[in-house]
Amino acid sequence: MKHWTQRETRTGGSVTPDSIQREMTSSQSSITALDRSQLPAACIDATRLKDYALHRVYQEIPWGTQGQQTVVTDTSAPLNNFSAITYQLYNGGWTTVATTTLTAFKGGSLMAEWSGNAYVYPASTGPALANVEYVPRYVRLRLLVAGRVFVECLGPASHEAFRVFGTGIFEQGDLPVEAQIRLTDATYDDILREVTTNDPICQAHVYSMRFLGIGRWR
Amino acid sequence: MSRINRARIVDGDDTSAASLNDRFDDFSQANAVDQFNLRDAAVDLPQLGTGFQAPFMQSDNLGKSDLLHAAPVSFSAQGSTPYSTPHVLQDGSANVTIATYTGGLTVTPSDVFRIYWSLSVRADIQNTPYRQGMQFNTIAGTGGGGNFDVSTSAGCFVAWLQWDITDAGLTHWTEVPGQGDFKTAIGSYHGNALLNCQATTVIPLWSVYMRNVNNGDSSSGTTEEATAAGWRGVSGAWHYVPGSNVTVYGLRIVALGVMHPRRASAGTSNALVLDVAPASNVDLEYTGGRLVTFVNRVK
Repeated sequence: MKHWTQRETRTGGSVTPDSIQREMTSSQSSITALDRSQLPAACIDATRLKDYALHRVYQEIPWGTQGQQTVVTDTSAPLNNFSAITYQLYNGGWTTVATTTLTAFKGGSLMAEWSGNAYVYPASTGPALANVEYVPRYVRLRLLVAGRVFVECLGPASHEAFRVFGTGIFEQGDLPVEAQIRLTDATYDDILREVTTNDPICQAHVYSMRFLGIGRWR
Repeated sequence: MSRINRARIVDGDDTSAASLNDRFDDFSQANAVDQFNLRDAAVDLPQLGTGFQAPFMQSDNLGKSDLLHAAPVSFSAQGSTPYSTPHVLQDGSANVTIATYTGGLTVTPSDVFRIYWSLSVRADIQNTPYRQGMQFNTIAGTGGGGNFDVSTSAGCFVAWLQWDITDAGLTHWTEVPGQGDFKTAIGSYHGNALLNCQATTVIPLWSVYMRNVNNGDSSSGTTEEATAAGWRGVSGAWHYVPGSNVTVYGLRIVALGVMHPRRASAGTSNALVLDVAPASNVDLEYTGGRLVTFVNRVK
């Protein structure tokens, strides 16, 4: 707050060098706005800060419905298969399997990770046609933050655990996060059904999903 | 830091009341201790007490240090269900490898307890365990081929986290929250619904590929090619924000197999269950890894 310690200069008044110097000198003594060079090291601890002043941790465990993808749940699959993605029901392309929101993200650095287990049915990789390459099967994984690709990877090729993580700089606001998967595209020799019941065979699943995000703005 | 954005007074300038008053107003704005010049500009990491965001971190050895896999630790698949005790990771000399926290590590509702671990593993299989028990489905034969049993390649070991939150005696191991012990009845089998696999890491055992499949059916030329999962790194992650203070005295990884997807009946929950049929043909080998414990402030 301004405090006039000498006098306020007025139009029409007389200004002398002393009147200016004294006022400036007086005013300078109150120029004490804090900056980081003036604060001592290690002077702030948790009890002196407002919640989320510096950073915020976001977590979802389990992430998604019971930690599983439920976008495709083919209940007709054999009982020794997951009730999950079959080519009879899977539309292909990137499919969102879990979402969350980074509420009140203040703007700054974000570290986020998505972990869990994934399964892909690898059997039908060898077509009958000559000179046709094997087709590896993957559950490709990616995270979108605020609609932008945050991290993307080839993903598991059998039944195994995964953990994808990344960092980035993001704007202030409530940021939407989407976990997406994309199964290797179907080929003409894929094994699609069990013979005795004609049940559709599970091609992929994702489960035990967890999400951890750490936003840091200072 | 606060900055006054106005040109300096230099010799020869005309002084007027307005210019001087504006200059003093600039000083007054810079002086105010407000959200900008304190919160946004005055505090940075050096001003924070040590370990503000991550007050605790510890790294512990798992398994046996054996970079060349010269003599890995090996244990067998379970042959009865429900099983009695899971395998606890050890150093190859029958000493379990666990993480312990001197005096107990107290985690509060303002903290997130983060666990990351890794291990080098290899499946050791004999014969054709991938076509035993519930490990396969049968596909039709066409063009001179008969029906063919095709492995799901979903057979696996599981490893999960247990902790002791009772005392430093480390005799009260229980599954961490969100994790079951794989002893729940799933139809005529025992395992966990996937909801209760939040601290589970699946360890693959084999992949079975088919040559010369004909439109999804077997043909006269169809053959299978089975590949056991060779040496690879597996890892696990788990994090937890307790509802009230919890003191952790120890943490360990236990493992079990052979597991397979299963539902008790159509429409019931997905689960992983113990399949004992392939047990005599499957071992899991492992060497070393690390378990890292973090405690992070949530806010």
